[in-house]
Amino acid sequence: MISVLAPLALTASTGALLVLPLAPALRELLSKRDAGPLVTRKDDGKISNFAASLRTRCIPFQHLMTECLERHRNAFFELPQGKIFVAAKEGVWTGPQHVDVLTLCATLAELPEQFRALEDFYSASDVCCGPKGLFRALLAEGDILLGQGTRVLRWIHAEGDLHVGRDCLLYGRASAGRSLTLARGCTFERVYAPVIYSSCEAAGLETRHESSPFSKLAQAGMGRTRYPGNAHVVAGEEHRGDLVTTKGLSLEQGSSVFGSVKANGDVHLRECAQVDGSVVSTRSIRIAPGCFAKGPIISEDEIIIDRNVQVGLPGSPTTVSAPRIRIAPGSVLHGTVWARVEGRVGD
Amino acid sequence: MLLALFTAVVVLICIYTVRHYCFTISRVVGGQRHPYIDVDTAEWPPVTVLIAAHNEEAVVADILVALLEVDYPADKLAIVPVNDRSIDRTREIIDAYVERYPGRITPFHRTGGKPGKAAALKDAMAYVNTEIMLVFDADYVPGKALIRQLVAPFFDPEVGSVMGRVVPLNVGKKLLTRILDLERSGGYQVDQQARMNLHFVPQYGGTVAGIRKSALDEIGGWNENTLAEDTDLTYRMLLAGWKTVYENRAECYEEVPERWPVRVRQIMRWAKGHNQAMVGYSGALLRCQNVSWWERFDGLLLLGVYMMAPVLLLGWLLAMALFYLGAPVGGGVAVLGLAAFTTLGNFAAFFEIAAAARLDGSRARIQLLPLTFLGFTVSAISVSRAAWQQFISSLRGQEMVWHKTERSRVGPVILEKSA
Repeated sequence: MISVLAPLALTASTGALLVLPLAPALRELLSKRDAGPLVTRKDDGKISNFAASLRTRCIPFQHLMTECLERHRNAFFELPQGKIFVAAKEGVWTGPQHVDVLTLCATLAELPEQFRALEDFYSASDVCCGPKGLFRALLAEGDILLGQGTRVLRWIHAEGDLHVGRDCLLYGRASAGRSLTLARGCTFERVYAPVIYSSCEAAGLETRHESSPFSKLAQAGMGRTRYPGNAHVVAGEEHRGDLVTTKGLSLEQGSSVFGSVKANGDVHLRECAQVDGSVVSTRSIRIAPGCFAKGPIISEDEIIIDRNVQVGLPGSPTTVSAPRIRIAPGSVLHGTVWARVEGRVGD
Repeated sequence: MLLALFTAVVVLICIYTVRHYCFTISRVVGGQRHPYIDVDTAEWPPVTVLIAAHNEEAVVADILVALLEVDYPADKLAIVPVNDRSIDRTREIIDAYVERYPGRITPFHRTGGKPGKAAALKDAMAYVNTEIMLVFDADYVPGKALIRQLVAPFFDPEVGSVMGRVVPLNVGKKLLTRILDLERSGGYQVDQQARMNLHFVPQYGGTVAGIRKSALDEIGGWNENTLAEDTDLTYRMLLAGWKTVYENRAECYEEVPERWPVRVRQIMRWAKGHNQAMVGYSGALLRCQNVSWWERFDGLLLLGVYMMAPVLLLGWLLAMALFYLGAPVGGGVAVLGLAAFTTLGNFAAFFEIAAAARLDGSRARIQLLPLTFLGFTVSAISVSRAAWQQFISSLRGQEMVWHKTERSRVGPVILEKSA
């Protein structure tokens, strides 16, 4: 009897030693706990998606807003979806200083200093926020004016104009349907508007509205010139076609490129240089006063935009993208400015 | 003599092991390069999307539906299904969509000519009037933002081609599909992205991919005499000073083979095409002044990746021979065994797969890692067989034949959230 059990036990233990390391694999193979396709991105990535989502969330509460507006009163409501606060008294804010529930504002809201909304804030009209406010997320169907030193933690969207006061901190997304003005000292991550002004004065700048006649040709591919090492386009010269360098690139004063430029080093656009295409660099991009770039502008390190610079065109918005972006007050940009690490308005 | 050969094999395998370690470290702890990912607003250029379709009745409708729904200006998007000599219902299905969506789809029904994807795409160039074109195989299902993600890198005038990430759709079907899912993760999430991070040579993969037409014209168009037009194009672009970039977030679902014979034929075709490119471009790459030394080094290693399977089998045979001959191989066998285990497997090494699964946030599928050894063994034998067939064919002066990968899909795609 013992002579039969011994080899059986040996075989069983050897088999177990072989199968044991495979046990988790066999278990997963049979149970299929993680056998679905990896989840890929399905949204269109639009900056205003969060705003659209909040608007949809607010639809069921429209009748409450209408009701409060008719009675000119503010009220808290306990609903199956959660607690909400509806403000409908026009003028100076008479609600609580700190709100931690979804807030719906039926009329123009003039928020006090150090106002805090730790849940989403929706306004059917304009919002005027006092200094040092704090918002989780803010959507207004009209204009928004953020007071000095206000912080937005996730996103902000104004269907009209968005004016961001000095030293504001905009984490996440900030967008406007018409225009966005960033005052000196503002920091941001991702901002979008048909037109973005870095300071109020920039709104008065004379900007171009059309690209050059060569623009369409540039898009169709006018050929490419590739320079080994550093290269520069001399002052006042016009270059037609794309320009690629294996090191740095400098566009001297008043020079123009009707095409796109790419450098595997630093790019410097000196005073009044213009690029009727994209500007790409594996390092930093510096854009001097008076320059124009149709865009996009893409850097893997840093983009520094001086005053009186125009990026993009009114009908042709574009993207400025880099880990760090610094924009001097007094420039006009059309489209998206996306700084993965930090964007800042300042000298 | 045998010992010297064995040492050379071990050294070669070790070089690939180090390469895979570097890639994994770059991906897990290094800085990540996604320079074009944030370009979401622009004056988007007109684009032509070519769909390579040869007997694709099972899948062609899904890609047409997906492309009609993408978030790209419709007036700038030309959809061209390239129906390459299909004898099934592919033509009928395409024509039905052309009729249903007037002005959106321009079909190209190819009834004759040389077989193969490259030959079909070459003929389809008559339908491409845009500077940017994208190429999809018919079994792919692009997401809404994919076209913009693939087009964005072309704002960089140095970029000649773009490659997106391939994600298997039919993962849970069979053991093979689960193994291929892990291999694809390693190959794209780690291998391709690491090459992008390190400014090496990301590979144009022939589908979920974009090409600048002027760059293609400059390098002489599609090469119809190759079994891997994608590798061929990658190297011709590189030699001409054009960059290929990889977009890890430009993800697209594909159907991976569900049967082992289909998989064997697929990888044998890839191996033969890749080896063709190795023979054709290794010398030129070494001499090329347009390319950095790192790109040359990585490019050569990438060209040699399918030759490592026969080299490994040779190493095992040599190890056994040396053992029985009593030669002092020392720790060589152990080094070979360890290095080989961590190096091969459809160019996605095992620890790359583990890192990729972690980066993808997959929790349970990583447990299947030991079973990838099965895929590795089949690949090693198939690739070695392909190399041998290729060698014999070249001696006999025979032309290589292009084999299409069979599809298994039976109904329209329904995407579910991962378990």
